[in-house]
Amino acid sequence: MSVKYVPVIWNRTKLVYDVVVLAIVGAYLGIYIYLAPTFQTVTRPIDWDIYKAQAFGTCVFFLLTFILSIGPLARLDKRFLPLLYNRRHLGVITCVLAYFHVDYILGWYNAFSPINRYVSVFIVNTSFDRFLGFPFEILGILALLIMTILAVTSHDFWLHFLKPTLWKFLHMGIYLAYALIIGHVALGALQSAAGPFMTAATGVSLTLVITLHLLAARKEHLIDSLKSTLDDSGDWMDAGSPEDIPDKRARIISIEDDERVAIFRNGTKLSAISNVCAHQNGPLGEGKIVYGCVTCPWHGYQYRVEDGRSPPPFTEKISTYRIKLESGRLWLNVKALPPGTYVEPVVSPMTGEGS
Amino acid sequence: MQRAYRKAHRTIWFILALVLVFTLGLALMLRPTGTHEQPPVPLDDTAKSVLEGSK
Repeated sequence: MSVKYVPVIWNRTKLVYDVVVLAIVGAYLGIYIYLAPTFQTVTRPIDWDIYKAQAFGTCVFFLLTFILSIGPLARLDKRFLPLLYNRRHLGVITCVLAYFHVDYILGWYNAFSPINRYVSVFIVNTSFDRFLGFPFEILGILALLIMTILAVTSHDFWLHFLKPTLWKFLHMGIYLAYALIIGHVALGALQSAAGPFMTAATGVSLTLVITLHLLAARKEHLIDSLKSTLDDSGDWMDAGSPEDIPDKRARIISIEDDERVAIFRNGTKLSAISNVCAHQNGPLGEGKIVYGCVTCPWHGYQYRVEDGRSPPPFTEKISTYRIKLESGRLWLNVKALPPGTYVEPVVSPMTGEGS
Repeated sequence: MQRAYRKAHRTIWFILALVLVFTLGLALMLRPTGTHEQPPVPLDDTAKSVLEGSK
C-alpha cells in the first residue's frame, strides 16, 4: 500500500525474495552452462552457445512451472502464501530470461543466412499444416509476446488503471503462454532430445501444474456449494456458532449472489466484511486481524473490520454486512452494504477475550 | 464476479488438461526413434593434406 507513486515499493521481504530467486537462477545457469558440459559423452561436443540457449530455455520452463504452482499451492495450504507475496517479480525475471533464450537461439540457428535473423525465424518453416515439423518457434514467440504483455502490465499502475477484475482476467493469459510453451517444447526440443531428462521434466511439469489447479478448483467448488439456508425473509443466513471462530480470524460464508463474506472475530466483537480485497481480489477471510485491521494474506492490504475502510491515509474500501446474534447463533444479512459503511460490531458474551 | 472468475479458472484448466496431455502424448509417440548423435564424418584425402599442411 502506498499513497504516492513509487515504481516499486521495496521492502526487506521483497529484497530477500528477489535475492533468493536470482541466486537460484544464477546457480542453475552456472551449473548447466559450465558444469554440465564436462559430463557429456558425445563424439562431437555440443557448442557452448547451444548450452546457453538450453540453459535459459529450461530455466524459463521450470520457473514458469513454479510460478503456476504457487497459486493453487497457496489455495491448498497457507504455508505457501509467502511465495505468492512477490510472484510478480518472479514473472518479470522469467520474461527477461526468455529473451536471453531467444537471443542465443537466433544468434545460432538464424545467424548464418543472408536473411535477417528476426525475419528468418518467421519464414524458414511454414509447415503449418503438419503436426511434426510444425513451426514450433512461432509458439514460443507467441508465448514470449504474452509474457511480455504480462510483465509490462504487472505493475500496480496497470492494476489500478484496468481495475482488479479485468487485470486478473488479462493475467490469466499466463495459462495460454504455458500451453504454448508446452507445444513449443513438445514439437521442438523433445523431437531431438537425446536423453530422457527434458521429456521427464516436461511430463512432471504438466502433471504437477494440472493436478494442483484441478485440486484447488475442487476445493473452491466445495466451499461454494456449502451454503446455509436463508430464513423466511430471504435476507438472513445462518452463519453458525460465534465461539467456533478463532480470535483475530474469520469464518468464510458463501452467499447466494456469487460472493463470499468473511465474519471476523476480534476478542468478543464480531463483524462481517466482503471476502474480496480491493487490491487483487485476495481472500480476506484467510487473513487475520493485525493491529486492529484485517490484513489480506496475499499482499498485506489492510481494512478496519467495522467499516471496511483502509486506515488513513489509504483510501481503499470494501463492502460490509450486517450480522446479528439470536439464541447463540450468528445470522448474516446477505445484502451487501455500500463499500465503507460502518456497522456496529456484534458483541458475543460466549467468545471470551483471547479464547 | 468472484464465482465467474473461479468458474473461468476451472474451465480453462479442464480444457488445458485435455489439450496439453493429448498434444504432449502425440508428440512423444510420433517422434523419430533412434540415436540423434551423428557419427563423425571421415576426412577425405584433400582435407587430410590440408590438415597436415596446417600443422
